[in-house]
Amino acid sequence: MTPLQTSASVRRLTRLALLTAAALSIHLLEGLLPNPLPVPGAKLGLANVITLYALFTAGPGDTLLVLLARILLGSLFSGRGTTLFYSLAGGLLCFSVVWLLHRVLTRRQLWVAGVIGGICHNIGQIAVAIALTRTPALIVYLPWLILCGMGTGLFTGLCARFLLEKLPEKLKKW
Amino acid sequence: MKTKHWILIFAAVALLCAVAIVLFPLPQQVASAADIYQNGILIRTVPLGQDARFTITAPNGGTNTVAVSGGRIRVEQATCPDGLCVNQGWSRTEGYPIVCLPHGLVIQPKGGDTPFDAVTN
Repeated sequence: MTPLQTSASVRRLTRLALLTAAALSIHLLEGLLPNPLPVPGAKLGLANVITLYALFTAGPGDTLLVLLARILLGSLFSGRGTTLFYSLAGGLLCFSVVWLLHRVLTRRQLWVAGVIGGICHNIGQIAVAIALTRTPALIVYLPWLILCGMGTGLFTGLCARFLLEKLPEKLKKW
Repeated sequence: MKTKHWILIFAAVALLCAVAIVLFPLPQQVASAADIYQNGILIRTVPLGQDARFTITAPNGGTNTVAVSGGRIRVEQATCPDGLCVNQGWSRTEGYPIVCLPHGLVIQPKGGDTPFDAVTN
C-alpha cells in the first residue's frame, strides 16, 4: 500500500470506530432512561441518528458495519440475549429499506428516511416476536408500533438532518 | 418524490393504523385470581371465578371488606380515613392493583389467559 492509501484506510477505520462508539453510547444511555412510550418494545431509537448520518455521508457498506457493531455490542452490554434477535431483525430490515430509498431522498428529506426506518424497524421486531413466541396474536400491536415508529422515526430523522446541516463541511467528507 | 407526496403517504398509513387500532383493540389481560398482601406479606389468594365477600383486619385494627363478583374484585367498605381503596372501584387486570395505604393492604390481580408473556416486555 502506498502511504496515501494507508492514511485513507486509517482515516476510515477511525471514523468507523468513532461512529460505532457514538451510536453505542447513545444506545446505552437511552437504555438507562425509563421508556416514555406505553407500548412494550417501543422506544426512541436515538442511536439511529448515527445510522442515518452514516448512510448519508459514508455510504451503505460502512453504515452496515457501524450498525452491526452497535447492535452486537449493544445487546452484549445491556445483558439481555433475546434483544439481539429483535434488534438485528429490526435494524437490518430498516437498513435495507432506507438504503434503497436514500438515493431518491435529498438531505432535507432525511425525516422521510427516519419515518420509514422507524416503521420497518418495528415491523421487523414484531415479526421476530411472533416467530420467537409463536403467538400470531401479537399482530394487534402492529398498528401501535407503526404509529410509534413513525413518531420516533420522524424525531431521529430530524435530528440527523439538523446534525448534517450544522456540522462543518470537512467532517461530512468520508 | 416531493415532500408533499411523502406527507400524504404517511398520513394515509397513520390513518390506516388508527382504523386498525379502533377495529382490533389490544386484548384485556383478565386476571384469574388475586393475591392479597398485608404489609408486603402474602396473606391469601382468592380466585376471581367465584363470588365472595370477606373482611380483612389490619394489625392496627382497621378493616377492609373485600368483595369478588363477576370476575372482578374491589374493596367494598373500609375504616381507613381517606377511603381511597373503596374509590378505586373494581379491578380485573394485573395492571390495576388496589391499594389501601393506611392498612398496608395491596390487592394484586394475577394470572389468567393472555397470549402475551414476559418475552414481549
